[in-house]
Amino acid sequence: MLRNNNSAVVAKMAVRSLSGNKRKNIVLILAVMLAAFMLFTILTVGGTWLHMQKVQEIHLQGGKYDVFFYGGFTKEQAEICKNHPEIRAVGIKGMAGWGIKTEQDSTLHSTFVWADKTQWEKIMRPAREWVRGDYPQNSNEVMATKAALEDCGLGNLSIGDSFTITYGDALGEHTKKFRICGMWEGYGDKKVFYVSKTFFDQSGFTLEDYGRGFMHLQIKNAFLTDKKFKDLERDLKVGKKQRLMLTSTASDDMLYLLLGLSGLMAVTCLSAYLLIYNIMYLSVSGNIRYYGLLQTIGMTPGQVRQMVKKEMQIVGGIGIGAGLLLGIFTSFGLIPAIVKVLGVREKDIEIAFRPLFICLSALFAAATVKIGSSKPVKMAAMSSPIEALGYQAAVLCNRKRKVRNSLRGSLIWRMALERLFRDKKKTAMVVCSLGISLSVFLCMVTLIESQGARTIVSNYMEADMAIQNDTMQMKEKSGWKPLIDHSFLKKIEEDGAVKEMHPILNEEIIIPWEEDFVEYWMTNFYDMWMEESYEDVKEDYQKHPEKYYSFLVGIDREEFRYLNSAIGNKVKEADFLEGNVCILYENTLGLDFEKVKGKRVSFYLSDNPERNCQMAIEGMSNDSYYANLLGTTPTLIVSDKFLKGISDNPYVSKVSIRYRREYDTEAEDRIKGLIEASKEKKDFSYNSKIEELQMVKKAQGNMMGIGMGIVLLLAFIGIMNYVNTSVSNLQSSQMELSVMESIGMSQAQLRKLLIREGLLYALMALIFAMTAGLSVTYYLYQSMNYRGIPFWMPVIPVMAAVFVVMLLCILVPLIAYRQIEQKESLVERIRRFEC
Amino acid sequence: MDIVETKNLKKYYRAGEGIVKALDGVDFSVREGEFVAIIGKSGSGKSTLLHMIGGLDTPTDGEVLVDGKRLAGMDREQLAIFRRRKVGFIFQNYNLVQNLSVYENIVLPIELDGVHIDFGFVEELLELLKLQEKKELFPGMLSGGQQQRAAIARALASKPAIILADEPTGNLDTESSHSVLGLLKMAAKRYQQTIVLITHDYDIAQLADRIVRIEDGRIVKGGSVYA
Repeated sequence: MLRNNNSAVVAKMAVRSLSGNKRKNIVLILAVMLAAFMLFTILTVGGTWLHMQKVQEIHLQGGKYDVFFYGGFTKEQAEICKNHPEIRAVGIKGMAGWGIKTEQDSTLHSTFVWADKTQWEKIMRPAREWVRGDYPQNSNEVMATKAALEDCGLGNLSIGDSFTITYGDALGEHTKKFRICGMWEGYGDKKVFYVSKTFFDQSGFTLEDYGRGFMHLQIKNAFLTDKKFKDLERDLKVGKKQRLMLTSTASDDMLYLLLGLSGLMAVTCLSAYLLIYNIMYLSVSGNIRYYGLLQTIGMTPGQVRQMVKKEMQIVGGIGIGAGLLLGIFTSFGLIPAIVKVLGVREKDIEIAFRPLFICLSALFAAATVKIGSSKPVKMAAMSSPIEALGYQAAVLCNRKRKVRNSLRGSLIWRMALERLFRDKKKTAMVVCSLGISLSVFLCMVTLIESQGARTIVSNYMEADMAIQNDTMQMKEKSGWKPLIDHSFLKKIEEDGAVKEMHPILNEEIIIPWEEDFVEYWMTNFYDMWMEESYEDVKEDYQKHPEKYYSFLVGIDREEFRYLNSAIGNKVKEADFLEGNVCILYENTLGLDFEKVKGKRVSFYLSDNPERNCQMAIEGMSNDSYYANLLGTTPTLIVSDKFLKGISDNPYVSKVSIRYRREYDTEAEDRIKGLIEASKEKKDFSYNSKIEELQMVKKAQGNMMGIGMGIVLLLAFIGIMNYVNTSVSNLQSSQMELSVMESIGMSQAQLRKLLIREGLLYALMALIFAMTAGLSVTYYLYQSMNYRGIPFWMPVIPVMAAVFVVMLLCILVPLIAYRQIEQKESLVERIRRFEC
Repeated sequence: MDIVETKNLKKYYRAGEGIVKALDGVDFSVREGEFVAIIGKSGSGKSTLLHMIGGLDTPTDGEVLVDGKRLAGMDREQLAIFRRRKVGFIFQNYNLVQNLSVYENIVLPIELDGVHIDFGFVEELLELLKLQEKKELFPGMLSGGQQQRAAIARALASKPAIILADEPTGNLDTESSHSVLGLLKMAAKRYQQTIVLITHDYDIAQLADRIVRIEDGRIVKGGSVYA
């Protein structure tokens, strides 16, 4: 209709308006800047971490693949992989032999491996720094590395040279001359000679053999969900000895990481949105008269909208620009530090500066500014000139109001409540903003504390120290030494700082063959752990059960109670202590407990075949703490009383110790002193909770610091929001407060009113955090709780945060009112509003 | 020729259970170049009438015609454009844009209209209203009288069809009041402007060509030049 070339004057008005409201605009710019900074940092940290994790994985694995098929594979399985819709590439590797000796060295560690074209050119290429020459085609050619040659004492050889080596394969030992047709350098296992397909075919091994054939799979998508991985396992009909392993960057943990990052970004945007909305809402409400005036002199609503939008564009532009610049500058130091804390061990961390991240951060921040300011912009444009002429920030009391009994309740509390709910939307915004800050704090602190070194160590290590007799790791019982004997245990017991100790007793036993339980166990054991088939050894076992020995593990009542609490099928304590029943160590065989429960197992001590025992199995456990000695036949956990009854002098394989005071370093030093004093000190080993704590702390680095950094940035936005609202609220209600003062409200009463108002804000924010915040925290906590640590809210930090919020809510309005009060006298204040 | 005409103009407000009749069937007209003063007590409806003529408020019933244009069918956007082209407002509390200089305030309605500024005319206005020395200053730096002179200059700058002045001397002392009104009248005469001025001061109203008295939302005297 009437299109005017007036954008210049609108822009000028916007700039002037901005320079006239410095305080408001600085806060706005700061909010946008922090949001852009946080978004950029979150995206860059996420991107860098993902990238570095992938690089690290390629370096550690020696190739770029997502799924590893181990344990040999059939032709059908290879075909299924090649045609599978989820799989992009299939690399095949075959173990063709191992080095035995050269003229220069007789203890070789190098192996001979064949890699197919996909494996060599696609899977392994990203892990190689350089390659010279060609992949072997003939059976006497090898592709070598410096490390492999050095292992053979042939470090001076290079491409074109030949060497003679004795190696082993399925057919026996051979000595052969090889020519080095190529060399490579890079990451992964380097003590390897890559050989031709012909060589592999002549080795006697097939890809179906356990431990000889491997597949490396690259998937089409970024990651494989748990369901899709299980589908793949099912499609491939993975056998008992075969394993399909998913690398960490391809697992759906990545999905959780992405969700976590998105969540953090959403909270950042929400905090910034609340602040921008609030500031703009307050600013526009306070400037209704100004916008009305502009409309009176002919500015159209569209032009007003354009002007306020322009203001926000300038604020947003400056804020986003400054935030991104800050992000880019700090990221050189900050991002590698965060990424290292998150578990990347690479020396050189390449920061993933992607234009996409800059664009996305700017886009999200800009969208936040736009959405946050759209309602206030509309409000400014809709301000009626006539209302503006007589505008005063007054309460709209056109709705029915309840008639209150003025005598009920404290007047000051009532006034505070009334002030709080006068503008419900504004109050809701401030409460949301403060509540979100508190909730993020609660969430971060709970997650960080639960993943904190002390919590992790305390949770997975019950005892303060566990000492182990390493001589009992030897296969032959003749090598065992009674290191943890009666006198050693007595010295520990006599230490005043030791609260309790629990020795684990061991005896070697023989379990003769029987067709029911033992047969079931042996079949599963050989399927799972042994290269040869059970059928091949069954006869031998039946004839010579002593060659297939196992162990009895004796535990005391306290250890039993702990173990019994952790297993599915509860065992009656009296039956266990009396030696009527035992608990079977499952050895991760995946046994069906129903096939085991109640089965009686017969055994005798290996050095006393006369003493035959029989016991019913009533429980099953996979806790390896009790099974440091493993045989072929089942390991049985029995009561120490029973064990002592059948054996005169059982060995103590380990002893767990608990101090009266957790993490008592002095007590631990004394115990370590006992080990040091032993002549056989090298045969002891121990696990210490204190040392574990130090190690976990070191591994976690400054995780707490970074978490707190995020919390503080978000809390800062929330606090700014409260400060801003509080100050603006006071400014707009100056007239009301001044009038109350003039009709006799004392300074003390005014202060009380402001304190109560602040307390109500704090209370509502706390309710928000303790309901919505706590629910989200609990959900997040449980979804990340891999270690099964019980949910626990860290009391001290949370109480401290609550205290800070309360203090802030009380002090900010008091300080703001003091400032206003000191600037003008009561009369001046009232007169200012009258004119 | 009538530059302003209202026919049976009504403006009713709901207040609690009752209805306030701010304007109750006002027939009023102003001829081109005429200086009309509207007097009445506080709450008599004089400001409401001015707001209706200026397109700031919409009537409950009746019609307003300014320079031959009916205001009734216009939307907010069109009303704003109408105001900046046809109406010059002068308020009791000046209503200058505080973050713009005097000069920028004066040319603001022209710039908003996107038309070329008649610099000669603006300079002439500044000269006439004795604002030459003050044009670079911001409103906060000026006295009340100076601010009101700036507001008059702004009202005249876009060469509107009519000047609407709502108690323009309400915040000024007697000397400044006479000075400001004298300048307003002189400027209006020079540029053949129509002025509708609201006041409750009979002495000031005496300066006008015609005095209209309004009571309880009805014109009781001088509603039409033909009357």
